[in-house]
Amino acid sequence: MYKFILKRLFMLIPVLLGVSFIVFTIMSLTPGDPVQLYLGDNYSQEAHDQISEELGLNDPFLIRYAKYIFNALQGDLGNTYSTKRPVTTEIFARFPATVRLAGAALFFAIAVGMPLGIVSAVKQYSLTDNASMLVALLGVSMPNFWLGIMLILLLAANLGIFPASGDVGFKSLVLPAITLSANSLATITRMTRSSMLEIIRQDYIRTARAKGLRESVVVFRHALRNAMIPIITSAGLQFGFALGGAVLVETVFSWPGIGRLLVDAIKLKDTPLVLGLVLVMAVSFTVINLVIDILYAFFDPRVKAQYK
Amino acid sequence: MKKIAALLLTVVFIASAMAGCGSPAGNSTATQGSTAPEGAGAAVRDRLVVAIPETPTYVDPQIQAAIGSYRVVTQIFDRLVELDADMNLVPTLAESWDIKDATTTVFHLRQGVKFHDGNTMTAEDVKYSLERCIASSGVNYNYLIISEVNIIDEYTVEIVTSEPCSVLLYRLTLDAASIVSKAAAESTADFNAAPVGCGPFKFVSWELGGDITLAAFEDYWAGASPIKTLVFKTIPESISRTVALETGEVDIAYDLAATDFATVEANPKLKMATTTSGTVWYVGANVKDPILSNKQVRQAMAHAINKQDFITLTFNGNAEDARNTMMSPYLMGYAPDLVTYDYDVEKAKALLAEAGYPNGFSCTLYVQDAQIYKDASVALQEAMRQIGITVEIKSMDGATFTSATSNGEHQLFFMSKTSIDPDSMLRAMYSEDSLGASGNRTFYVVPEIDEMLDEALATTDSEHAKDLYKQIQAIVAEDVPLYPLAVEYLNVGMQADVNDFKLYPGKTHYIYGTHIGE
Repeated sequence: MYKFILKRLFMLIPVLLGVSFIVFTIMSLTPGDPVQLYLGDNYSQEAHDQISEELGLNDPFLIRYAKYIFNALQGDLGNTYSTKRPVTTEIFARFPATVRLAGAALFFAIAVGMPLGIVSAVKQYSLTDNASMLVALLGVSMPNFWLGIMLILLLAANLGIFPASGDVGFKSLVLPAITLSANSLATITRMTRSSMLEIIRQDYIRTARAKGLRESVVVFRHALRNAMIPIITSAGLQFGFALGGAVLVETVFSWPGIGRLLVDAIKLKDTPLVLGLVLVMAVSFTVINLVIDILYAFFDPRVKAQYK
Repeated sequence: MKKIAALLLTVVFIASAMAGCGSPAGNSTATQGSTAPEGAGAAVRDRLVVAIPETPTYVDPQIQAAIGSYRVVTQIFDRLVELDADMNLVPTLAESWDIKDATTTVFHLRQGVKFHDGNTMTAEDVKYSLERCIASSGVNYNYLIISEVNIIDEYTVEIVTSEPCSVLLYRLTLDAASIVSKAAAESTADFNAAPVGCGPFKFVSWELGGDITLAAFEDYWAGASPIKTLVFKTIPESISRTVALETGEVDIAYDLAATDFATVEANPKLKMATTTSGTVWYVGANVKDPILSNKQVRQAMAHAINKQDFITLTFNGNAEDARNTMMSPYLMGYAPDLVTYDYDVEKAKALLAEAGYPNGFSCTLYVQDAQIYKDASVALQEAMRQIGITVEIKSMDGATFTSATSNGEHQLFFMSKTSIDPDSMLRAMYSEDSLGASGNRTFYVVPEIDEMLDEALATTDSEHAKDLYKQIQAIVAEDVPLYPLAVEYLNVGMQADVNDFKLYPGKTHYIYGTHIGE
């Protein structure tokens, strides 16, 4: 098991090298001069040359990349162009807010999505099933920025129950978390339903029922546990997306997380900050995948045996 | 079976109720913010929350010139002279000034002005601040003309410019020329983390990515502000700013979307304020282009644009006609309509035919990837289509747009320029000094204009300067290297009980003087 984890962690190195190289290349190839954005509308050529030198933009591409990797290996992701603060400071000041939002969204998605999925599977083609599949369809199809604006208009502007924007305590977390969870909720509901439907038709479920077990034991102990693997996979992936992809939701709700920071950084062509953010997202995604794989072993002894 | 389904549904409802309705009572104090009248409504509100669209980058005024940052910075620092909301110069830290000769101005400083750190402001601080500004490449563009800052005595400073500069006073009103505490700036490695000025509000805290909190400076030289806590909250989406006003989370919201005006005006708890800004939007032509180098072609294009329709389409009516000058109505020497181009498609076609393009031609229009540019480019494309010119719109991000237009890759482009003095506006737009990135993206050069700009800067006779600026405006109105289209309005929405808030055309509204209630 430890060997497996260690092996997976080693695999992070090529992933991060690849990701950083691709982002570095894209940021260098796209037109636009960061120095111009840095200095605004009016500046002298001397100022331009000076800043360009300070930011190390005059070196050839590969040298700049090599320097970046060399520093990154020592934990130094450089300073941002826009604020001149260390990239790590900027990112980790906002990362907790994003984790909080993504965590709350995932919690909501699982707490609502799984029971809905189970009910739908157990009572296939019932009213509950049809209703929850409709909810799932809506959740997948609704653009989340639109849902966010509608929730703001209804629950914040008209009813005044929740604050419309910002990060001011638990109450302000509710609307963005619901908005962000809509998609994952739908996916988890559908995943749970289809996975449960498959399991419920297995022979061992019939056996369990035949030997007179209570229905709750059959559903939760025998069926659900075996149906968990695809559900965990999709929940984990959704969490990964939420960590990096909450860009629209963070913007609509003025949530001070890394999604909004990434948009600002791209607009400003702030290469060190974009790189740092993408690396952090890549690491979180990979780590989440690893956690999912470990959870497989917890739910399925057969998988555990393979990890040895 | 039924029991289980019912049980599960109950779980679902409880879970969603928990997540959905949160703790309505649990955390009520955290979000009440500004407008909840605490207790029995007896206490006077002295906390003002302002919603701003852009995240400020710095609170040190001398790192980078950006409106987003200066909207906060301007509350913390005072300058030697300032502009009031009607763009008149008012003495601030300098009580008075004498013009000694064409290149030397002597400033007599106000005595007994305290910095937030308790030190008294003296000539030392002024010299230090201006030299600090000149040394910073991000903000020094307007100040490189200053050659010396000399201390005459503790409260007298002399500023010498390398060339005569009649608009020096205007430049000293900009936030880059803020007076900082020398003691504080020298003693700390990161002045941006703990800025010290002598403005009406002192810096309290700024969490990365979060709100900026300021507090009233009780020893402010003009008297302490009745607003004791001033919070700047970044809300990028304009609709979210409107909603935050409606829910009372914020007291003032800058730059509302024109589509929300009616909602705010119809709400008895809210009100709006608007004013004309110093920002002029224009469509420019690269005169190095073989077709656009022809003056008749440019005039034909001007005749093809219906400016009223353009303003309605692009600004939702939230702007006024620029009247064929890049100068905003506030600027000294503003001379509108020296040459006019009526909306006249036939005349435009005739001019094009005379220029040798009876069947029109194709050209590119460079714009940025943002709503205002998209709306404008479609309106311009349609206007040009009427006279047979096929416009290909090239939309790109801000960085690419700035580079491409600075390098002259474009034919037509749409852009804006904000200025508070005639020299910086006209020089940026039409001078050989500022070709490319510095502002002259039409690459239009007339030596006569450069001479007149220098002469206007050198003269101490303001009537003569006005006359020169008028002549320049007449030349460029005739040549139309760029066609000024609209002067943008600035707007702010606020709670009905917020009084005496003033909009500043320079966009960095000065909160001091604003109060809540009577």
